[in-house]
Order: sequence, then structure tokens, then C-alpha cells
Amino acid sequence: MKTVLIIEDNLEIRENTAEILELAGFKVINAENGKVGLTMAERSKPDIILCDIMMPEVNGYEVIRELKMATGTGKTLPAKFDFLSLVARASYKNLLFQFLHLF
Amino acid sequence: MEQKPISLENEAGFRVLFECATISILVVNEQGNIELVNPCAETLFGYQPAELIGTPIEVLIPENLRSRHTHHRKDYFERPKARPMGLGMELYARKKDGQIFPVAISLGHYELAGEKLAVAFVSDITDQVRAKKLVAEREAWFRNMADNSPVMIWVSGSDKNWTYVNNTWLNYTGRVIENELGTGWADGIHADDLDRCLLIYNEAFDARQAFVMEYRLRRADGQYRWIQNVGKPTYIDNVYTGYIGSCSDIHDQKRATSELEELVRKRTNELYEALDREKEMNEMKSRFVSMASHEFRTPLSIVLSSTTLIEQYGSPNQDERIQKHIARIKSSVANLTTILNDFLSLDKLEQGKVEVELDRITIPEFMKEVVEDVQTVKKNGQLVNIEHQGDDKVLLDQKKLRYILVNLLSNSIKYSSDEAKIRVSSHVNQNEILISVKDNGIGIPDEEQKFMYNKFFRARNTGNVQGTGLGLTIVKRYVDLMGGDVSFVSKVGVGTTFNIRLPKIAAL
Repeated sequence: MKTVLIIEDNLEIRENTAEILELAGFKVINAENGKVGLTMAERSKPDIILCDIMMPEVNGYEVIRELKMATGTGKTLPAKFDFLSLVARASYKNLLFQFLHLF
Repeated sequence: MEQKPISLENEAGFRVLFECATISILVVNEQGNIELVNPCAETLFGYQPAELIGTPIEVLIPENLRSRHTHHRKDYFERPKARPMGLGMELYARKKDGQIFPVAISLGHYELAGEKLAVAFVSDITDQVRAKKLVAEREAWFRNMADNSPVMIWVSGSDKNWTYVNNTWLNYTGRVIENELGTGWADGIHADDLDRCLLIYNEAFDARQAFVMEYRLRRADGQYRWIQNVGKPTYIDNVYTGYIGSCSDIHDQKRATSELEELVRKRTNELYEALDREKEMNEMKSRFVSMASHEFRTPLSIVLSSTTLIEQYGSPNQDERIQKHIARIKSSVANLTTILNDFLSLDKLEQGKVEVELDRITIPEFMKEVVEDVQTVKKNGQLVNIEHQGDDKVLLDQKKLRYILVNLLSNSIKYSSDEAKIRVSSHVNQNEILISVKDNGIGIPDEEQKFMYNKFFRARNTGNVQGTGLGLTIVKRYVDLMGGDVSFVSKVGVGTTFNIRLPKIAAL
């Protein structure tokens, strides 16, 4: 079972996304902000990280930068993971559609 | 050197002097008869030589003055004395033919053998009198003209002192001429303007250059009014003689000008304020649009994901009515998302924030995805055919091309009936990528075709089909940004074909 980490500050979006993914058979971990998200990524080594871009404090771009640096230094992160940005870019429906097609 | 009286008494010498003198000389005795007359006098008065000898001097005097002259003559012989005649008076003489002319006369006297004799030296001053009269006339003419001129006129000597001002000037200032001449004219200048005026005046005079100065001058009623004074140097026979100048009252004109300037300033300010307000409104609009599209997205995402979850949690054989309403919610959210996206896209375009980002795409696959995207809006039995010719792989802005094609395809779907066929064909040649979307829909009325790319424009025959009127506006702007062009052929009731032509970009 693949593990997905959702980093999203809006509770409803986070929960709904998690529910849809769980129904589709994924194991889901939630993080309510970028900082928690980074910790979780290190601890749980998800296969996929689904991350919001516009977030207070640590935003989506900073999260991906940190993650890339961490993989570079050989930290205990997934060797290969897919990173999808949520909300601000494509429509939500399209994104989920694309996401589900990855597998 | 002392003259020798002897030489005059010498008969020969005297004769020469007498005969050749260019002045008329007459010698009259105490009885008033002419004793001697020189040729010059005979010529002047029009007599034959010696004709006048022995005749009374009064024949040479106008008739009306003769009795008076007899009287004066007698007085003279009583107290003879060398002097000019008729001092301060205009003297006239009479020629033989009766012609009267002006003369200047000086008198001398001597005694010869106990007889008192008077000598009159007479010169014809007709020319001088005429010249003098002419000068006087000229002067009167100038004064008359100057005094009746609506402008104030002044004349100054080379020493900068004024020698003349006309009546117009005097009437304006309400002063007498004596007060204005010399440097008096400057008395009426407003204290704040005086130094500046004198500087201009003196510098112009020293350089002998024309000048123009504007200053406030006290009028007779005490009011200081703006006048313009223009001065020019004068020359007579190339000799500098001073200046002549004229002044006119420009107070009302100046006030009108400054009022106009003030008005222009005010209007300009109002315009700037309006412009600022407009700018502010635009910024507010932009902020609102971007805020709205971002802030609306979150609740829309929640509505959509919750609807999807409701659908998932429902029993497999649930009520059809629930299915119908779930479908309605989903399509409404999709519509709303499209509208928001259009608003945001247009706002970004108008702010010049949109740039072309090239992606490597494979056209047949890309087309399939696009058709997949519009699958949900297709009507019953509608069919979309794709055909492609030429190279598959091109370099294009994928997002913009996707928008363009989804928009054109959605339009074809929206404005075509059930079972309709829509054809999307693409052709990649050496230089261009040609894409066309053809339908057999309702078509665009001829007279409205030119407005199709206008913001918010929707053709009359769109009826109750939903739309914002922004789709084609954005399509056109995207195509322009990508350096291509878009055109269409359409006929009401027959259908519409949109053609997109994009330049092929060589892969690096």
C-alpha cells in the first residue's frame, strides 16, 4: 500500500482529500503546515507528497526546496518521491484526476 | 582785425559791394523816397533798373500796412539805430505785380551832406517761412495723431529722459505733462515692479535695444493696472536720438489669461484626480478578482470533494434523484470554476503578467487529453473526431494551447445539438502548426462576427446557453501571445470552423 502525505492548512480540504484517497486505497498521513509536513516526510517516508502552495510560514515552494536539499544530503527520506502541488495551480478536480492516474 | 572804414567810403569798393550783394539793399531818405536800390532788390521786387529811384519806399509794402509803415519810418529817423526791423513780428513786402511775400529786414543809417539816410537790408524768407510752416504742420499732425491714439505714446531723448507723452497717457494717469516728463513717468509704477522696470529700461537704453516690459501703473482713479510698455531706439540720419515707445493697458487681458490658466490648472487637476480614482478602481478590481478567484477556490474545492464523497458513500442502487442533484452540483461547480479561471486569466493578461512557457508536447496524445477534458460537457450522442497530419512532437505552451482547444471544443459542444459531429484536425508543416475545430452548430450571425473577440460579448443567438463572453477574448490574446493568429468562418444554421495558426518553434 502506497503512503501519501498531505500537507494542507485548510482542515476541510485536508480531510476530504484524505478521505477520497483512503477510499481509493491509499494510506494517508496528514500535516497541517509545512513545518509539520517536513518532519512527517522524514519520519514516515511517504511515496507521494501532496502539498498546498499558499500556506502561512513555510509555503509549498519552501517545502519542496527543503525536501530536495534533504535528499541530496542523504537524509532518511524516500529515495524517490512524487511531489504534487495542490489547489493554486490546476483545478482541484483535474489534479485529483491526474494524481489517480499516476498509479 | 580792425576794418578800415576808408574802403567803404571808396566809391568803387562800395559799388562792387552794393551791386554784387545777394541781399536786397535799399537806401531811403528822410522823406521816405528811395535814393538807391541794388540790382538784387530790383530783381526781388520785379522792377526795371533805376525804376524805383525816387519813388516812396511804401510802394514795396502791402497796401494795408503802408500808413503804419510811414509812421514807423518817421519814428526811426528821429531815433536812428542799427537794428532788425519789426522785432518779433512777421514782415511782408510787395512786389511790383502785387504779390505779397515774407521778408526779414535789418536797418542801418548814415548822414550824407546833412541828409539823414536809412539803409534797409531785405531778404526774402518765403522758403524759411514755408519750411517752418511745414515743420509746424508736421508737428501738429503728429501730436494730433498721438493724442488721438488709443495707446499711450512717449518719446525720450538720448539721455533717457522723457521729452513727450501724449494726451492718452495724461488722461490715463490723470497727471499734467510736467509731472511725467524727465523721469516723472516712473512715479506711477507699482513699488514691486519699479526696480525690475528700471533695470530693463536702463539696460535697453545702454545697449540701444528694443524692449518690452510689463508692469503695474497707477491709473487716474488710483487703481494699479497692468500695462505693457514697448520701446524702440530712434535714429535721424543714422544719429541716435533716443527712444519712442507705446503702452497699452493689458490688465483685463492678463486677468482673462490668468483666469484661463487657473481654469486649465483646475481642470487638469480634476482630470488627474479622476485618473487616480480610475487607477485606484482598477487596482481594487484587480485585487478583488485575484482575491475572489483564490478565496472562492477553497470552498469550491470543498463542495466538489464533499460531493464526490457523498457519491462514494451512497449505496450502489441509490435514488436516481440524488444522482441527478449530485451531477447538478458538480457541473455547477465546474461552471463556476471555469468562470473564475477566465476572470483570473483575463486579469493577468491585462496586467501583462502572462508569459509563454514552452513545453514539448505530442500532438495526438495532447488532443486525446483535451477531448477527454470536455467529455463531461458533451451532449447525448455527440462525437468528437480527431485527425492529425505531419510531425507529432512540437514545442508549445501546453497550458495555453489546452485552454484554447478546450474553449473552442466546449463552444462547439455547447452550440451544437445532440448527436452532432465535431471535428478537430491538426496539421504540422515545416513552419506552422494549423489546428481547426469544425462544428455544424448554430453559427455566428454575420453582423456580429466582428465583435466575437470583445470582452463579455455574446451573440444574440446564444439564447440561454451559459457563458461569460470571455472565452474567445482569452483565446485571441493567448494566440497573439504565442505569435499566431485565429480566424473563423461561420454561417448561421450551418456551422462554424475556427482556425488557429501558430508558428512552429524549433527545438533547441
